[in-house]
Amino acid sequence: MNKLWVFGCSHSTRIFKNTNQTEWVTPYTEILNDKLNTILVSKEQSACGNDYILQSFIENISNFKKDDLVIIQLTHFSRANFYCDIQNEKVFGNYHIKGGVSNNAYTHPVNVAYLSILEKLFPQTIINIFELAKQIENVIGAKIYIFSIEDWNRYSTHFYEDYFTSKQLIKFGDERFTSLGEYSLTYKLPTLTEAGECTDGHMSTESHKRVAELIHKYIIENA
Amino acid sequence: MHKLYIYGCSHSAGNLLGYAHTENTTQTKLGEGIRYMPTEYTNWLGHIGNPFYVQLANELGLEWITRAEGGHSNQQQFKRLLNDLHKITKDDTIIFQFTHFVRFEVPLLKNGKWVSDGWQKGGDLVFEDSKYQHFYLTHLDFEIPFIVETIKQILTLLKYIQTNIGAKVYMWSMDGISDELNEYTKLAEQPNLITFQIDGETYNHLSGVTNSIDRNEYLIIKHETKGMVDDMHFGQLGHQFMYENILKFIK
Repeated sequence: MNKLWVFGCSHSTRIFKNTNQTEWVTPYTEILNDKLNTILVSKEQSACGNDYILQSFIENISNFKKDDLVIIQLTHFSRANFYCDIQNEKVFGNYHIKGGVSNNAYTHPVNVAYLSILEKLFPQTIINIFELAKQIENVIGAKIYIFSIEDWNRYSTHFYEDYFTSKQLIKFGDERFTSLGEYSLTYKLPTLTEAGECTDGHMSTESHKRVAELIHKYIIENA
Repeated sequence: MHKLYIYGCSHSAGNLLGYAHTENTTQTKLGEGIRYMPTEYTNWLGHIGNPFYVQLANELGLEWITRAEGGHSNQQQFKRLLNDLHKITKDDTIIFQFTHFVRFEVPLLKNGKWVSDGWQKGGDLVFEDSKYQHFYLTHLDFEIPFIVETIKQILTLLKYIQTNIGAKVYMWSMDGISDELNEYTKLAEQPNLITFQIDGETYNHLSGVTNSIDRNEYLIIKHETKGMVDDMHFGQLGHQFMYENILKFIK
């Protein structure tokens, strides 16, 4: 049985709808896993940046097998990794340009100056993810699919145009939108708050179902 | 013919010995993507140099492929290795040289495309504008995390190549590996990290074999040429030393 590997952030994880964590939204990954009859291997990490996703992708390179499916969900471009000390252990943390420090235990000096250079850093991470994906398909034979939750036009991303025609970049809907963000501008994907499920900005149950269908359709058409 | 892939910076590429990545077709072709480019040092030598990897490839019966490039950072060489992944076979050999850890990649727009350059403290600024100065300074503030992340990526990819593809993989470092870097990366503990032996001492980084003043200084071009060529790269004698050490380590 082939595996379905998933790399990404909280948009690919279970989001709990109550504080005692007994009810959750079934993420598109689990729905897709059922549709594809694969074994789900969840490597996503809430609040992580794309550089963490790349690192995690590289760390698992030895584990992919021929005909495995790998989904890489690119997160907000404005996130970055930081090293920090938590209980004297060096761990990766993340910082979001629009949010706060993801872990209050940070002792690493989060330098505001860093944020101004994010835009110059993330292209290299994205290139590496695409190039590694291409290599893994060529060398191992695993099928890699990449999608971005954010609209590529958010930043000066004209350089990504080389990758827009890649089969590995999931296109959404009949219009073949190059990101989920762009799709959502036309076909609204309600958040949990908007759907009245709970107060949370992540995708609702219905949105996850739709995303699973869209990705499944793309995978089948481009198998 | 099976291949010997060389990754690293100018210390591996042998640029001073006349080996250059150039598209100038009037120059003599030496290997895939590499042509002869005379330097002040080759003028002093009176002939083209003999980089360690050319000798090594001859000894091992391999075709050398120089992917190392002058001025490159570890991150740039990681990407180059990544892009070569599909070409590497189980019968190939890879030697990955870690360049100066404090050299990092600077992305810049050139003719509408993102390209990159290597930069380290004291080097020329690619862009002088305030945003880039900010970028450089911030990188210096966060040197260790950036270095650690890059080394870990490289080690993971090399391990994959060794374990899954089956190629022979060796690495060496130009700079000393600090305890802090080693704590995070275990680079100094890698069994395939090439060591260099000289005067009864063993070093896990090439720069340790000479103090550039009065200890094995002849390995360096400036001293080999008695000051005629003011350059601190390893010269012909230095590359001979590297060849002998690397061959001994590999065997």
